[in-house]
Amino acid sequence: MKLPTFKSAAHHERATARIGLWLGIAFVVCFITGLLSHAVQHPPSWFFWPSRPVNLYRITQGVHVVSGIAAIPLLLAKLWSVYPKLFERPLVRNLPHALERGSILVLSGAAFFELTTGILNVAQNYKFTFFFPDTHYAVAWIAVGSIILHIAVKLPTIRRALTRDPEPEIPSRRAFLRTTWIATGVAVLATAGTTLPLLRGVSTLAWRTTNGRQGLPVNRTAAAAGITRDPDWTLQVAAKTFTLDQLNAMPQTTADLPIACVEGWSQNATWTGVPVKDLLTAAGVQPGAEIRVQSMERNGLYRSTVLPGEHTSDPLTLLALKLNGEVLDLDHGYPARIIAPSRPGVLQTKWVNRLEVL
Amino acid sequence: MKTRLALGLAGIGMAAWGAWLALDVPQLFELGAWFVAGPVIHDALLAPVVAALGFVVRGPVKVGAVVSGVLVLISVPLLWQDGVPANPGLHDANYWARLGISLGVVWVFVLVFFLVRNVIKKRRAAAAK
Repeated sequence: MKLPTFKSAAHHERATARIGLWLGIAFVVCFITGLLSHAVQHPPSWFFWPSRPVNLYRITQGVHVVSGIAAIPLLLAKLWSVYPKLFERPLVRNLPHALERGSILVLSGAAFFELTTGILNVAQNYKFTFFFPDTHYAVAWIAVGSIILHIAVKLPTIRRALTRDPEPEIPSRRAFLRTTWIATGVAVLATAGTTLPLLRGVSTLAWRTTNGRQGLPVNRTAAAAGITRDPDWTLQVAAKTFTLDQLNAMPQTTADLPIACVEGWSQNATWTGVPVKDLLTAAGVQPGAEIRVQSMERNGLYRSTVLPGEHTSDPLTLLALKLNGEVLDLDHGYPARIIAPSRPGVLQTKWVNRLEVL
Repeated sequence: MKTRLALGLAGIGMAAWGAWLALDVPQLFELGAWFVAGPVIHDALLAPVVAALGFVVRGPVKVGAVVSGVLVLISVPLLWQDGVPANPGLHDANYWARLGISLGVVWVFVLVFFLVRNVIKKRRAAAAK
């Protein structure tokens, strides 16, 4: 069999290295923001996550998802640039060569895995049966580890390829790079409106739409959670019990806070409710205590969450009763939900009926 | 050389940690299949198609084709929605129409590029006479 020959300047190391640089940046940014999001949801004892600025998590997770989208065309271009290497013969020259080729297979597998599972997850489209957060987290270490190993192996080539070439740029190589940047830019423009208000009208392929209840998307409906209106609902805070009328009679705070989902979409809204700080004080608990928030939901993954002391002492952490001036929709957590600044959406527990001091 | 060695060891350590974490996933076989599927589908299917396309089209049409391909790829999870929970405000737009509009815009840009280039060429030719 005759192996194909590749003459295009797209396969030159100068093109490979330049795309590789940006792909590496995209993956590292994804990795760091991903680790942050992981730590916010599973905080190690040494970890601290501030409650201000209120948009902090919105920004880190928006950057995570947008850089992941940008990595899709970059990965395809990078692989196209090195595609001829797949046909190099002999397939394996010696042990180091075999290890290097093997590590590239791992790199490519891990990179595709992260981008594919990530983009399926933002669309809540689970074509796989494994648990997304655990696998996406584990394979992220494999992806970034093998990228760093790849950089170590290729460092002399990368240095040579990224230093300024005294000869003028070959037009076909410039065209290949230009096409890559255009495709990356278009992919970002088509999706980033899912979090960036500026691109709301532009991003045709954004997964956040304007069809949500009370102007806000719903990540899990009351029907999916098995929740119905309960006229006898009460809220228990430590040892004290509040009725809905009592909560409505307490001093209310109104604040503009975003819902910022792990799926990268975010949306600002005006929330009205009782600061958790005031509820704790009314129940004889010192604000700043770590609390467990319990939902009426019986078996959701996020039916119970822990609100750190940093958030329970923040006056903007609300037990919200109203959204955009109306009583909370059942799908948004009626009668009461948590809305705290700079937190992932899945931890903004809905249908709350108990706050326990830990 | 020291830098490369340190980087290499750090990379191997991180990847090994990830592999260790992945071993805890109950559906290990399925995870492995997804892991291998990416490189296989790319190398055996996507790349040859792109290569063939590269022989057929040139210039701005090639750019339009590449951008269209990327848009189609990233819209797949929004188009192929069976088994996805209905959540108001999330992935509930008509994405076939939206993809159509996006591709339309891309090809209008390609067309405009051609028209502008033609006008410039004609003007240059006229000026040279």
